[in-house]
Amino acid sequence: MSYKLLEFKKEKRVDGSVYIALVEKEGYEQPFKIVLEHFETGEQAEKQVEEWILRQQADDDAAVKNKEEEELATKQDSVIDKLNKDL
Amino acid sequence: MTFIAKSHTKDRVSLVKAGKNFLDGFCPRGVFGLTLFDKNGDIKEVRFSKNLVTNVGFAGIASRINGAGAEAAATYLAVGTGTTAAAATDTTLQTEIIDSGLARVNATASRTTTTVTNDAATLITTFTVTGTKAVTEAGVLNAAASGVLFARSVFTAVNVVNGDSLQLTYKIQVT
Repeated sequence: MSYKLLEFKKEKRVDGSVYIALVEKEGYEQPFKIVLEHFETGEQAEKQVEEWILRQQADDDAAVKNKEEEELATKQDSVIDKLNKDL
Repeated sequence: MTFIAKSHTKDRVSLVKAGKNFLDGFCPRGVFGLTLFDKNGDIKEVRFSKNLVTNVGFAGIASRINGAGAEAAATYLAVGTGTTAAAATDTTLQTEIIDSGLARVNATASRTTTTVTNDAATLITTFTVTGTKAVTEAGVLNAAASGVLFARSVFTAVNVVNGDSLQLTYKIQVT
C-alpha cells in the first residue's frame, strides 16, 4: 500500500501554531490529517511525517507478506491432508 | 583565548541555529507519535507532539551514562487525560490512565539512526483500547509503577473508543 503526502501547512490556533499534513493512502476514500504539535520548525515536523510514512509502508508490506505466507501454508497443508487421505 | 577555525564557523552557525551547543553537541530531543486505528485497522488519526524532558529526566539520562544513581532504563510508555502544560518539574503524568486497555506498558525498545548510527532511542507499543477516553498526555517512565518520569508531552485530545488500537511511539535523538 502506498502513501502520498498531498499537502503540508502551518495552522494558527488559539494555543499556538501546529503543522498539518494531508496524506493520501491507497484504498482510502479520503485523505487523512497528521497533526504535529510543539514543533519549532516546519522542517522538523515534515521529517516526522516522512519517517512515519516510511514506517507505515514497511508495516503494511510486512502484513501483506505475512498474509501471503499464511495463505500459502494453508494451501500446502490442504494438499498434504488430501495426499494423506488418498494414500 | 579559544581558537575556532574558519572552516568550522559555518558548522557552528548551523548548530547554534539548530539549538545545539557547539562545544558538546549533546541535545536530547524527543517526540511522541500516536497513530489511532479503528477496529478494522484503518487509520483514524495521527498525531505527533514534541516532548519536554523533565529535570528528573535529565538526571536519569546522566545516570544512564555513567551508572551513578542507578536509574533503570526508561522503557515504559504511559498515557493520560491531564491537560496542564508539561513542565520541567513534572515527576508524574497529571492523570495517568490505568484502565480501558491503556495502562502503562513496558514498550519495545530499540536504537535507530538519524544523524549518526544508533543516535536515537526508540520505544513503541500498541494499546488495544477497551473503553472511551480522551488521551491528552503521554510520558516515558522507568518502572511499571511510580518510577522516574523522563519526558512528558501534552497535546490536543486523541479520542479513543472500544475496539480501537492506539500505537504509541517515542523517539529521542541525542545528536
